[in-house]
Amino acid sequence: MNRGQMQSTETIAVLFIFFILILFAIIFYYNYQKVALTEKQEELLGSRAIDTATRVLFLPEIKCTNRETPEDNCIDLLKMRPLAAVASLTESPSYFENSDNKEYYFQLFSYAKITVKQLYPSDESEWVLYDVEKPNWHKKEPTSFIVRLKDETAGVNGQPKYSFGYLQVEVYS
Amino acid sequence: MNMHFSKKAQVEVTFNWVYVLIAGAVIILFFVGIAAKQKTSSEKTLSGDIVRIMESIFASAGASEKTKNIIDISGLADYTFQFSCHDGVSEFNLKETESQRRQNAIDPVFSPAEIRATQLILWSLPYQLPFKITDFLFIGSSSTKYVVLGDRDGFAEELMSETNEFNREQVTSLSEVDPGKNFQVHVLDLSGDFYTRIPNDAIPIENPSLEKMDDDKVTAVSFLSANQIQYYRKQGTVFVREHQNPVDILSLEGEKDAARYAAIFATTAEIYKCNMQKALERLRKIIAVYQKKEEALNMYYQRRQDQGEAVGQCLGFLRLNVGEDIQNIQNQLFRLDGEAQSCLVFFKNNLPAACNGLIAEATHLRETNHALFEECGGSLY
Repeated sequence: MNRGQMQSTETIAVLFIFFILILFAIIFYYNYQKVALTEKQEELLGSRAIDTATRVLFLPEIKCTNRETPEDNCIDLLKMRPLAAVASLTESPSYFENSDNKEYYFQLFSYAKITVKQLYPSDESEWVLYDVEKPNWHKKEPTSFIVRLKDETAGVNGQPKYSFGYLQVEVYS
Repeated sequence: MNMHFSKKAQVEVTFNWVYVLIAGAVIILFFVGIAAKQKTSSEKTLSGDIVRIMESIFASAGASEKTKNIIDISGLADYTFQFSCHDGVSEFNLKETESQRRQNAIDPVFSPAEIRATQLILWSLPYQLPFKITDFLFIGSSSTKYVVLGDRDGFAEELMSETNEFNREQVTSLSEVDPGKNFQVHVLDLSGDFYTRIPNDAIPIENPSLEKMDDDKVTAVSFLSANQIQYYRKQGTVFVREHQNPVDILSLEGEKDAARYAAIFATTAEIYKCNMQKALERLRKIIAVYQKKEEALNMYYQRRQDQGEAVGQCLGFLRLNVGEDIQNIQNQLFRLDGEAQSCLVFFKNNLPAACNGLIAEATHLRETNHALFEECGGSLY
């Protein structure tokens, strides 16, 4: 091998190592970005779960009032029952999902499932208020709150009857 | 020492140096390119994050009733937040960056068109007509100065005491206003003096400091009555009308009247009307909910009556009463929906306001709801 050939081989070797290093850097950066993206998606999902749950807790469509004063952590059954989908009838959408309102409330809740379940006195009652599942979702973030369920037509002497339950908001990513 | 190089060796050394220089330059350019791209991408990500976080803060602040939040944004003092609203959809972004515009067609947000400050002040108030429809979010800042001029029915005192956290000043004439280093000044003419003094003319500012400010940084709103307003914008040394016809304030009045505060915190008629459109859309959705509740209450009292219980006027207040003076909730909800629909059309098409019917129906419904509670113990809302 003459001197010129040796120099060419040397140059090629240097370039090869250089590109190998560049390749390593790119792979490292790609993996780092992938992890960062996943973390960011989880952070966004958590944030959206809290935002959606807060919105639902204060939703005037279902919130109780007592002579115009809002009652905290309370759901008015007289308002909620007609809005919820009937669990046994899969063809029957809830008020929030019917054709007139679906687009409007999607802007409020996006891809989520909102359920209210009565715990005490236990009567297995469960209402699905909103259920729009994201196609090909890979994670679901549930947030729950204990709420009072008020029924103005079930008490004695015209007084409302309160029961307890929980409100669950699940958001999809 | 004899240092003698052949001609071939000299060419080779020169070639090597040129080669190294070119290779070095290419490598440096490569990394400079990556750094520049990374910088742009980071700035875009950062601005996107800021807008997203702010949106989340606005959503939480808007959902929580009657809360005031002061958000320190001193790190963003060099950025300008832009707010706009068209056709019932509001937008929000950072002016100096390529941040994505965040849109919202649901939550009414009343703010200046631009904010550049070290502190954001957020205040939410429930909007009722007559039942709660939504929470209005008012956005002010440490560098947005509200100048309270005159009074109407003692509202100036209420305004001053309710807005302690905001940058506001009460004056008796425009010449007293000191804009200081504020980014913008919004004059609140509570007595309607601007409108009544010179109905169709420009209002002289007569304050050199205010006159020196950029035109888009000085705005005014004049309260013609408790339920009508007129917005003004600065044009050189005068205030001119921003729109031809006065805008209606859709409220039942009373303390902490969200619609009246909305008129104050929106600095342009467009922001006010566009966000009120959102409230009217929501009102129609909620009327449908109360129509279902009325049905449930009616069935309940009917059942009690069928069981031989005395239910007095309860069924009357809900459905049976028909007459000039006495009406029922079922009819009132129906008419309220019709009025909301007409009012929405007026707001959307920028027509002279004609929402008196909406206020009248909301007032009647409130009265019947009170009567239902007094007589029967239950109420619609």
